[in-house]
Amino acid sequence: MVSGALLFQSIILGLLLGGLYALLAAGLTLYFGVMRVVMIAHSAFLILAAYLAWYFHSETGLDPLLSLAGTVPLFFALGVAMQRLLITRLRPATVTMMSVLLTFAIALIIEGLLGYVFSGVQRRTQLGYSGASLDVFGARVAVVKLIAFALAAGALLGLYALLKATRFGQALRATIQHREAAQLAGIDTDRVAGYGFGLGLATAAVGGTALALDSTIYPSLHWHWIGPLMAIIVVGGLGSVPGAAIAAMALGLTQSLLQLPLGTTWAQTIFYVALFGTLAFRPQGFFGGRLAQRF
Amino acid sequence: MTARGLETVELTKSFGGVRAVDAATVTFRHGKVNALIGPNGSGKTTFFNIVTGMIKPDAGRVTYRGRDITGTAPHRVARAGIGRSFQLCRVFPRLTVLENLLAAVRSTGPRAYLAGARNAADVDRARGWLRRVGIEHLERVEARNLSYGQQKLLELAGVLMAEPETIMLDEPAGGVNPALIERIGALVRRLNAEGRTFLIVEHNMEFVMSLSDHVVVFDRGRPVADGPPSVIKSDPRVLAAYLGG
Amino acid sequence: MPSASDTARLAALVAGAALVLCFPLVAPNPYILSAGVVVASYAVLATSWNLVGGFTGYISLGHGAYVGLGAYGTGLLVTKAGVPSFVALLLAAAIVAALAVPIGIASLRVRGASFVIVSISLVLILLLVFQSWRAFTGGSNGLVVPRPFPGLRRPDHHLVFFYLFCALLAAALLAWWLIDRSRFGMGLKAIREDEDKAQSLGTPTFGAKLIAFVVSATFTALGGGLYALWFGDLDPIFQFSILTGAYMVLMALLGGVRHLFGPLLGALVVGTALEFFKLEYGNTQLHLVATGLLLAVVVLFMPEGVIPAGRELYTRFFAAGDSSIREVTAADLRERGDGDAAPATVEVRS
Repeated sequence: MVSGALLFQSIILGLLLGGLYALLAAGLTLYFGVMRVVMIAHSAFLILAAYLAWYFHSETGLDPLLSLAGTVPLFFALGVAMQRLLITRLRPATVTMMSVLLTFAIALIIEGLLGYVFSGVQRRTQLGYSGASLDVFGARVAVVKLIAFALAAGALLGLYALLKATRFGQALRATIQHREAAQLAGIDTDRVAGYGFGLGLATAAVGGTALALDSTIYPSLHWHWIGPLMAIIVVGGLGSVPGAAIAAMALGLTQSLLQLPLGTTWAQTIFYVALFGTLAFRPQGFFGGRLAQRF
Repeated sequence: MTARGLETVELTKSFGGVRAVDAATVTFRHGKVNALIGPNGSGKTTFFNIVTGMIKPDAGRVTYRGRDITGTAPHRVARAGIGRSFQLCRVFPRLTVLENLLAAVRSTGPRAYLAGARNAADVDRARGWLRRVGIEHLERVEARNLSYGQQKLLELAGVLMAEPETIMLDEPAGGVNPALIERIGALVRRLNAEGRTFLIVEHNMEFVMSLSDHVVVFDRGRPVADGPPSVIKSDPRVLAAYLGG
Repeated sequence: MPSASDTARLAALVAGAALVLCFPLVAPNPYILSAGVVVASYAVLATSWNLVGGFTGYISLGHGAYVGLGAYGTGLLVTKAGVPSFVALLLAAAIVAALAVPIGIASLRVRGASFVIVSISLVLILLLVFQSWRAFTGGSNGLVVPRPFPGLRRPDHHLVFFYLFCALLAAALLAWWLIDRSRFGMGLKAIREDEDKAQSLGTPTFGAKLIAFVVSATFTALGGGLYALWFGDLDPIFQFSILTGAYMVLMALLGGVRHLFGPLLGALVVGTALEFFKLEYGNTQLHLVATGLLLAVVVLFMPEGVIPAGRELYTRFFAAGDSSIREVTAADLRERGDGDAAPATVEVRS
């Protein structure tokens, strides 16, 4: 019988994990929303950001969180460039399918480069506070996990504020909902799409840095994130950032709870089960509402 | 007593909050040219899609020749004898004109499926249809390289190749020049004389009125009037539907 | 009455086959010969993939799953059940065929990008399972599959398997050719072009897709199983490999998915390049980068394959022809029947 404390601990950890998933899923939703692109390389960029954060720390000795000052703008610019130079080249009729292949290729390139530059040795950031843990309502939670969550939550809130309260955010939401209508309303949808893409990649930068605080990273790690992320956006319903967030929390929590009886490796299977199940019974997802689309 | 053809009873379909098809009960005249007219958004194409099995209705029934075909898979509806064209002309772009027709050949059983696609019988039949619509000289051209008018003819030939008893055409005169409209109209008349039933959705009033025997008017998802063209033309409800009210 | 081009094509085919079969005789050393076996195995896998990818347009990036299932199926049957090697191969393929039915039913319900994602998820989850189930599969320690001809010296071992792979390739090509010319194949191509329209014409699309899917998975599993018998040493990370799946897609796309020998051509180009790479630079991660770059180039610039792309480039730069609309007269247009200028008198004939 599992103790109450252990269960509670799992729940807290699940929520923290869910927060990180939610941020990453939000990025994926943005890509699909603006360009109907399924960005398989999102998790590869995640790992890239993690490597950059680790490298920053190991070279300068400074806290890896500071690398955000560089990686976020860099990734934003990369996102805009990718949208402009690559995605727009795909034929509109088959853009979703081709984007899967294209971003898959990009993921391979990133993994290969990471392996070449940093070798396949597993890396871990060791910080002064890496071992510290706090007492949260009776559960012992590692400080790094809390910081990671705070980072993810902060970025998500920032994203939400951007989407709801700024003119750019409005333009972005309009472009996502109905591109032609947005164009007719005078919005430069191409530019907005580029920025939307950049924003998506910027979330990968934040997520990657958060990941670097706490996890062991290696070049092929991104494959462990593709499954969960795809499952989250399918279950959440594509096109809906809140839907993705809800699905992320739900699945993150479930994964954490399942780790108790099944162990880490088998607990990961929940994502695949959820993915297959959703596609089998409710392909448009569960939490997306009217915005959700099948892809 | 004319044979029973395509009928729907209380057919209903909603998308989100919008009732696209609203308890539509319609009886189409078998062996005749039926027309389905109505303003944009009156649910005609949705109605088509439900009848041909592409969408499942929320309620109601579709029967054909006395058989309930509600919610049947599209390929089974086709095999029951109903063929259809699409509003935005759909052909198989990277297949040649001839292959587009060969794709409409129906097989039953493994031996038929494994038979060669380019067998003499099917090819001859295909060429026959291409001649009837007038594009036999384009046999080897990939469909995506045809003009829009030619694609419309190709789509029609493809539908006919499958030897349907009832043919549903979704805006066959849409986006084509008058000469081609004439040609299509003449073809419909001829095929109808040969015994085929037609159900045509159209906005081109001249085309509809000159061609059809029976007209059904749709407004806001349900039929509001039906009868021969001469009657429909002067029905105030039709006018109201088109002009709003 | 076979035309001149038909006999020319047949002659080319025979010549090509002869060249391939002579390869082991001209290979300078056993390492090159083993590289040839690898390329032959790629050709088998790419052609097998094309049975579903090329015909239906459903791009599976996770076909590595069937390679792994075939390999481990064969290996486990031999090591745990004592089944003779080639019987195990066929039995494993039969098991994969049976498994492919429910997998196909689940996967083929969704289209386009969803299908790709499901296929990736499949290979990832199988990797997970085979790595974790140590007791049954040996996990990351790998599984050693005893060679079917223990007495053979290494070069002869490679020779025998080169011909075995060629035989399997011939079978896969035959299957592809039979489907291509058949009505079944016509239906599949219609599905690829416009699935809904194919349905509206009476094609039972789901059943057709499923059959193509199962046939493809079976041939892929045969390829994987034969590889297991040849290589002898299995590791989940190499058998359930997304990279292998990527290779298959890349080779087929590059060579041209709508052609019988397209995947073979792609396998020759990419496979030889990969083996060369390995020889020159050892096992760095750069082959990932190269694969990614090549796949990106193919997707962006030549999604129909290298031959049509080459042809397009050729006509753009060299062919004077009537590619420019300015140079075609109205009379030409009428003759060709372009536009709706064709006379209405055509109807009288019908």
